[in-house]
Parts: sequence; structure tokens; C-alpha cells
Amino acid sequence: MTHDEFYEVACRYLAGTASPDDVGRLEKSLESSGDFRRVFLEIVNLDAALEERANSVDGRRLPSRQPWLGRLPPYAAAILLTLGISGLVAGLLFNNQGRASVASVVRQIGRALPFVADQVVAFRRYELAEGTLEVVTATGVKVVLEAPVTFEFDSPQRLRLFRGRVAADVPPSGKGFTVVTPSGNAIDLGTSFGVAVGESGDTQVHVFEGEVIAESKEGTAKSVRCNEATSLSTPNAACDIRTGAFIRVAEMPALEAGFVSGQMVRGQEAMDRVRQDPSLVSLYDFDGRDMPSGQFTVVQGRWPGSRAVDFANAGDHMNVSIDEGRAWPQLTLAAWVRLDRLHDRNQSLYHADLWSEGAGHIHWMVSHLRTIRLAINGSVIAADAPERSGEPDSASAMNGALDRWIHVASVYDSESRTVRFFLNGLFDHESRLAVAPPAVLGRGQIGNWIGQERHLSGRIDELLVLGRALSDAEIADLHAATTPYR
Amino acid sequence: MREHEAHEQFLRLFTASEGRIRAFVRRLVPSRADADDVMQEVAIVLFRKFSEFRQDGNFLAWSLGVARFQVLSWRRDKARDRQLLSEKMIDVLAEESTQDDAQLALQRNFLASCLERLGEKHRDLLLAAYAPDNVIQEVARLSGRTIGGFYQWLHRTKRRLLDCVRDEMRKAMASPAPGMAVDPAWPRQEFGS
Repeated sequence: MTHDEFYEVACRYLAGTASPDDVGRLEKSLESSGDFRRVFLEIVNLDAALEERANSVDGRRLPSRQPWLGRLPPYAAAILLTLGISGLVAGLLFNNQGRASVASVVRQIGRALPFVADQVVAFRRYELAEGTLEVVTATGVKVVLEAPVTFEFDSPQRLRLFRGRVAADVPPSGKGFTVVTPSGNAIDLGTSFGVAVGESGDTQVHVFEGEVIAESKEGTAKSVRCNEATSLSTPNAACDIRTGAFIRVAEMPALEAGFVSGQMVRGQEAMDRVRQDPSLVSLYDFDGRDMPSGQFTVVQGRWPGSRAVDFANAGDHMNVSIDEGRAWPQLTLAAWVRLDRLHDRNQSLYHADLWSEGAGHIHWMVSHLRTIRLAINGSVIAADAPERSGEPDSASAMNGALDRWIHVASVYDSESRTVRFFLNGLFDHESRLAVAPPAVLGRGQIGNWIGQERHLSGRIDELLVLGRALSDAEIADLHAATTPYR
Repeated sequence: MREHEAHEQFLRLFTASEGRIRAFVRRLVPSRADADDVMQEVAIVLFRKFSEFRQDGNFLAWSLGVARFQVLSWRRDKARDRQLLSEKMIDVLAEESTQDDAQLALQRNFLASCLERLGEKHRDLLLAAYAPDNVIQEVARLSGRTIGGFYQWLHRTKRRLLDCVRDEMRKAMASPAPGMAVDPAWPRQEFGS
């Protein structure tokens, strides 16, 4: 059977108009080829999506012959009878057409979100403690809200943001979409932008494309263009664009696929195994009660409800003390990092305070060359090594790694005199050293260095240090088990 | 867990997964009405067996297992008087459908933008054909086509949509090839997409 014939027969089967001969041919084709089975599942999946769509938002264009309760899925009645639940509650639980709506839920990543798929967002205040939500307004504006966030839609064109981070992609039909904050308004002029309202009320507008008018509470207005940012709460303060500080629409499908396929559980199980590893030196998952001291912001990590640390401003840092005094012939450092931007200066992942006070102290960073670097005091790079910095560097630059979570790992082996770099679980480069002292940890900073301003622009989640050299396969497994994406 | 807490917990989990479970069932039966029949049984069985569900387990995976069994049971009941795919084939499709569930869910998410590209007139007509209260003959009549002609139009339009959804998937999944960094000496390439 040709693909065209197969498509026609499959459609007849799904329309209930297939003959016995059609069904026989369909069965044979499905038996014979995985390709046909995949196409068949895609066709019926499309049918299911069209039925959902016709029954929800777009379906409202069609003449309705029944009140909204009559549009509940028939099996809802069975559940209601079983549970003794009223129709009113059912209306909240199942998709319905009867309530005033301002936007529809497109995707949600999280276990505790108060929505079901395709459910409408009502005119009321929502407070999300965890998770990430993508909605589309009646005017076509796509909005991603990352917890912790408190928001309320006044209309499809007006979103009140009390705290949290929101990113909006505004098509021409949504021009004029406004995010209202306690410190002022961000009015879109056809663009893609983000607004962040911190716990202390500090409010920033970041423009990814196009132009936004940032209007302060006092009434002053300022144009903010592509790759610019401004503070609404302190209008004269310097404000760097931070694209990675926001989860945007393009990232949501892969995050959702990761979440629904159980990556969060796999990630937690992988971390449990790391905790049992006898060579574990330190694991910072930032989820416990005892957060190290420093200056940083706690934000959502890779998983709904998990925590990461965010470094945004000069001076931001986290103080840590990792196994002071011991020398390590082998060491593995790994972390999930979400970079906001690259700089012409080094950005610290972990920096020992006392770099110059003895061989072996380490500085792990995103270098000014945009590489991942593991510098070891007292080490000397091999004479014929290709790194132009004279330090062990990854072969890849991070230019294309902004605005998403990436897994970075560096494996130091003083005996084989190598530093191996891995990005998203894949081997990137091996730096060869002529002199390689054992590594020394100790007091230091995550996200900055006490000796010089090297603050990271971005988030760090699950930074771990192991006192052995993980193999390539172990690094790949660690990445595969802990990635939030699919 | 107390009884009312278990009820609440069940409703929370079920409502969060209901769309996925329904889509899974729908892929294994010929029509929406068949899916409704099966879902009624699935919902009841899930609720009755909820005490067997491990609280730290994957509710969706557990539900899909129950749904698969219910579809096969439904097929055994209906096969006497309807032309249906064999039980063996439905089981194979169930297995592959479970494996591809996340991908198929993504495809459904791309439908909205593909529908936009159809234009308002065609989009409304297509959705009218799928609206639960509409009779297909009536929709065909309103479109000015014979019933046969309308089915042909429907199949062609769905095929366009399917191609569009696949294209969107390909674009979303594609990772651009690594490019060269500004300095060709070091670093050697760019990482990421």
C-alpha cells in the first residue's frame, strides 16, 4: 500500500466509514511497518487534538445547543457520581465553556499548579508557589510565568504582576500588551520582553526583541529597545539585559517533555546515588534549609519547586568551605548553569579564596574567552597545548549556550596530568599539563571571587564535587539523568 | 491518608493527567464516542484502585497502564459487531503510543499555530466538523459540498495540518550545527544552540 492509500484508509477507519476490506488492509500495513504505525498514531493524535480544540476555545465560535455542563466529557458524570461531587466543582475540574476567561493554559510544568490542560485563566489573582505556566491570551500574546509568581489578568491585554518573573511574546494582534507592576508599567510596542518583580519590590524590564515603553509609577516614560534593560523601581540604576533570567516560550516544549517523561524523578534518584558515593566531597543542591551565607537570590531551579541560586549584580556571591586542607589527586566538578550573558571578564563557578597561597587551589569559571576553565594554581600547561590562554580551557565557547540550562563538568587528574571538559554530558576537550599538583579545596565562593569582581551572570543548580575522576560514561549518565529537557 | 484526602489527591492527579490519558485512549479507538466510553471505565477503575497507587510513583504511567487494559477489554466487547483492528495490533499501538507519548503531546501543542495558517474560513469549517454537537452532513451542506466531497476536503486539510505539525516539530527539535568562534585558534567552536 502506498503512503497516500494508507492515509486514505486510515482516515476512513477513523471516520467509521471503512469497509471490512479496508480494515484488513490497514491491519496488514500496520503489521508490516513501524513507519505506518507511527503515521497512524500521528493521524489519530491529530484527530484527538482537533476534537479537544473544537470542544474548547475555538469551539466557542460554533453554535452551541447545550449549556456548558452538557459539554463536560461524558465520563465526568461517572466520576461525579462515584465521588458525589457537585456540578459546580466539576465545572472547575473539567474543561468547560461557561466561565469568563482571559487566557488559556497552553503548558504547565509542575505538580501543584491549579490548572488542567486547556483550562482558562480567570479574572482573579493567582499565586503559584512552584512550577512554570504558559498561557495564551485571547489577543494571541504568549506569556510564560515562572514561580514563585503572583499575577492577575485585568484583560487579555493587561497583566498585573505582583512578584515573580514573566516573559511575553507579543504578536501584532497583541500590540499594546501591558504588564502592570507595583513600580510602573511595561507597555509593549510589538516585541518579546520580560518583567521581573523581586521580593523586595525591585522591578526590571528586559527587552529581547522590538521595543517596550517602561513607564514609572511617577509617570515618566522611557523607550527600552532590543537587548536593553531598565529598572522601574530605581530608574537611574544601571541594569544589564538578562535574557536567561526568564523562561521563554521556545524553551517550554522541551521542559514540558522532560517533566512529563519523569526527568524530575530520575534527577532526584541520580542525586540520591551521588549522596551515597563514598568519593563525594560536597553537593550543593540549594534545596535544604541551611543555605550558605552570601549575597544572592534564591530562585526556582530546574525542577518545579526546587531551588537554585541566582547571581545578577556586582558583589553577588555565596561563601562555601569545601573540605579544607586535603589534597586531591583526582577531582570532578559538575554543575547545572543557566547563563544570562557573557562578559569580557571571568565569571566564577567556584573560586578558592586563597588562590595564591599554595599549589593546587582551583578556580573554576566561564572565562573571558567564553570557555569553561579549570585553573589550578601551580600547574603548567603542556608546551604544545592548543589553549591560547595558557590555562586548561574547554574547546567550545559558550556563545550559543545562553538562556537555557547547560551541564558543565570538568575532571582533573593530577596523575595523568589532564583536565577533561564535558558539556551537556559530551566530551569536549582534554587539556594536557606538564606540571599538575594535587587539587586543594577549602574556603571559597560560588559565583564570585574574594580577590576580584568575577560575579557570574546567571543561576547555578546542583554543584557537586567528587574526589575521583568520573569516567566519560558516568558524566554522560549524570547529564542524562539530571537534564530537565527532553 | 484519610478518605477525603485520598479523594482530593486522586482528583488533583487525575485532572492534571486527564488530557494525556484521554489522548492515549483516543489513539487506540476509532472515534471520540469510543474514547468517551473507555474513559468512563478508566476513570472508575483508576479511582477504585487508587489505594494501590504508590504515592511517589508516576501517576500518568500507572494510568496509561490501566487505560491500555481497558481499551483491550472494550475491543473484546465491541469486536463482535464492528470492524476493528485486532487485539494484538491495538496492543502494539498502545506500547508504541506510550513510548511516544511526550512527542505526540508536543505535536498536539503545535496544532494551534498550524490551525492559524489555515485561515479563518477553513479553520472554522474544520472545527465545525469536529464540534461534538454538530452533524457532519449539516456541516457538509453548509460548506456547499456533497458529503463525499466534504470528506475529501477534510482528509486533504488534515493532511496539510499533519505536515505543518511535523515541520514545527522538526524546527523545534533541530539543533543548529556548531559554528566557529570569532577566534579560529581557540576556542575551536561554539557550544549550544
